[in-house]
Amino acid sequence: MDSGPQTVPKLRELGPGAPIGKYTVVRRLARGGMAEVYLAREAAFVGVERFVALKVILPHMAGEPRFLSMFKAEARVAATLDHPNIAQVLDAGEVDGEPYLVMEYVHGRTIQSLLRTATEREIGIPRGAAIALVIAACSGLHYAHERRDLSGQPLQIVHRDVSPSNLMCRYDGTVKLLDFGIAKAASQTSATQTGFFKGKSGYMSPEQCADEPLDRRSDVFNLGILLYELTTARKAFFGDNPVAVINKIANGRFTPPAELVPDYPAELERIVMQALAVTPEERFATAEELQLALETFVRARRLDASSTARAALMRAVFGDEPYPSLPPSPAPAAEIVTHTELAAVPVLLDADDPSLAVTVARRAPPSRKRAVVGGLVAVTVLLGVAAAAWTSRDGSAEAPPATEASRAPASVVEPAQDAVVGASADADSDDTRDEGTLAGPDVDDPAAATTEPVEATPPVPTAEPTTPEPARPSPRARAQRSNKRKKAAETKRKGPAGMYP
Amino acid sequence: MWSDDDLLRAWRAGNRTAGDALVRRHYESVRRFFDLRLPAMAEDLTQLSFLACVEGRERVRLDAGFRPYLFGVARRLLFRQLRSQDRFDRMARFRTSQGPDTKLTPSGVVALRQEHKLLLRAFEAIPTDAQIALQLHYWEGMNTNEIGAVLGLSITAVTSRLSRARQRLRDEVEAIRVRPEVRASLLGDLDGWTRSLVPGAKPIA
Repeated sequence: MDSGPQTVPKLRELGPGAPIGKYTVVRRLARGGMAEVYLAREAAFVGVERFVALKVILPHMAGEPRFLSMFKAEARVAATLDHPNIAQVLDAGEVDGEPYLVMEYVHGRTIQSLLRTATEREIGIPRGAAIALVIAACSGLHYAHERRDLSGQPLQIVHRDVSPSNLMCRYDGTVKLLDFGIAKAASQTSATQTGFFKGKSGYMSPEQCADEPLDRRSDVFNLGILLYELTTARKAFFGDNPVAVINKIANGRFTPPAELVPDYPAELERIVMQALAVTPEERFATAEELQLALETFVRARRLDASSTARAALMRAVFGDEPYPSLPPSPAPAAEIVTHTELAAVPVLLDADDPSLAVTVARRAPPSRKRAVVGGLVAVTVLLGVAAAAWTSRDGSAEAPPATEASRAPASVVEPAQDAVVGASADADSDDTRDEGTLAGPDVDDPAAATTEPVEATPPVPTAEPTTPEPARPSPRARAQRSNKRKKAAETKRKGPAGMYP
Repeated sequence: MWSDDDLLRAWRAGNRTAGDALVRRHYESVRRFFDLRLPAMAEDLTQLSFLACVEGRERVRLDAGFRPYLFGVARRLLFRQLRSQDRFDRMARFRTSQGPDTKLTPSGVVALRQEHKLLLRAFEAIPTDAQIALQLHYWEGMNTNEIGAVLGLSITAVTSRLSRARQRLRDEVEAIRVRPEVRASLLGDLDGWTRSLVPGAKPIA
């Protein structure tokens, strides 16, 4: 991609299009009290692209040494974890001393969002699906609790902040645990210093309230709260202020589920009560024990606790949510360019076409980098239209030699429409969404992980790699075109890659 | 500097600048008063308190002073809100925002030490009127006469209430599960720790 020295923007200046290492910011997804999460595009070797979630520290926290060390600790802890129910940390880096984390992108919503939206829309959460969410969280947490270092010593990881905002459910029903930001392995020195309160008051364990040493049973308590809330649609611990909530947790004061839900099964209530025992010794000893108890209950009751049930719940609450799509980036787009299309030099004659000019004008380039991309898309449009016109005019595949500038990707048959769609999708990328949701394709999803360039045709942004193109060039030809295309782009790019204001 | 009484008289005479100055002088204190119990509603309740003062400024008895009148209004609003059943529903359900609440303290508290956390938990556990008496005494620096005007009690009754409130606070500190060294530190200077919860708390009159 980019070569030579590059002026990398400070993270606090991130905007759509900002390059951070090999990542390009698309838009902001969520903003918390300490950090922000961005949707970003990763361009990797041989044109492989995927969405990732880029987590960066907010400016006011960037100068806080303790928070910085916590942020780095998250990278260290999370990077060791590889489990289907844990959002994986893929990479970490630093710009001007400010670290960032690159995480697996989860196309779904937080359980917090699920609970709130379901409440607002008065949609009941099926018991099976609710329990299935907790079972998956148990599985991910137990894995983390069991992790050992390279010498085989238990890391004794405790998440410490298992809450509805740190648990996500993908639209396909896969559950992902997020944010090991305050997780701590026992071997690390305590980051819980005097005067530095952590966790959310409604989702703390009694040990956390008392500032006592924590072990995995603290996370089990948090899972108990999740289970309570998902199966009753009520908060387990609430109060006028955080201190009141903490006092309730410390004293185990909460309304038994059966008092809130008339048909609440006694076995399930026993599980909830055991998970929420004030004394750690009275709780399930491990998250796996809780998981087994829930699985036994689900089997006995013949409840549907499959990922399909979770996906159905997500659909019922949020509807069908397409994941974001972007205009094709220059390098991959070259792969679908045919000889004929590339040779369609007369396209330049059509550049004066006013209707096309309108299309191009919608992509006002706010930066050099964007201008390159936008320009390529625009030329693609022109090329495509011209190629079609040229072909229809004389039916010949022959054409005058193309200039370097004209060797932009052409997306063939009906590129004009696609380009307009792409332009609007690009405009959407400037729209930051302050919701606690991370919407995007997941790297584990084969469809999402496709490297084939995609024409921006929402709502389904994935191309079918196996679908034959009408005039698809050979792999060798595609590779040659791609290389030339990359060279042209690099030649055009002078100085730092652009960053949107 | 004009006294509260001067400002109130001027306000009554139609001087809005005087009224504005009076509000500015006491805004933080009233806000702090609500912050302890109802932080999510503190801003609204503070505004309501001053609004009530604007509407009732002709009824303020100057012998008791403006500040006791203002806190008396605030106390009534606090109790009215605490009795609201709607409040419970909003808290228990997921309709309201559940942002991270990493702040355990009334606004204005900068350093949050273990002793402060323990103290706040003990504060929360004692009856609201005992809490208010301690707030007015330690944070607002009110004397027994002024506290009496706020709570509608005689000086003797206020003295007794303050004494009982301190004892309740101490009992709660001893009952809360916490590291022994933190408890010992807090109980070693309960008055000092209580005052230190609010930097710049007014000296006791």
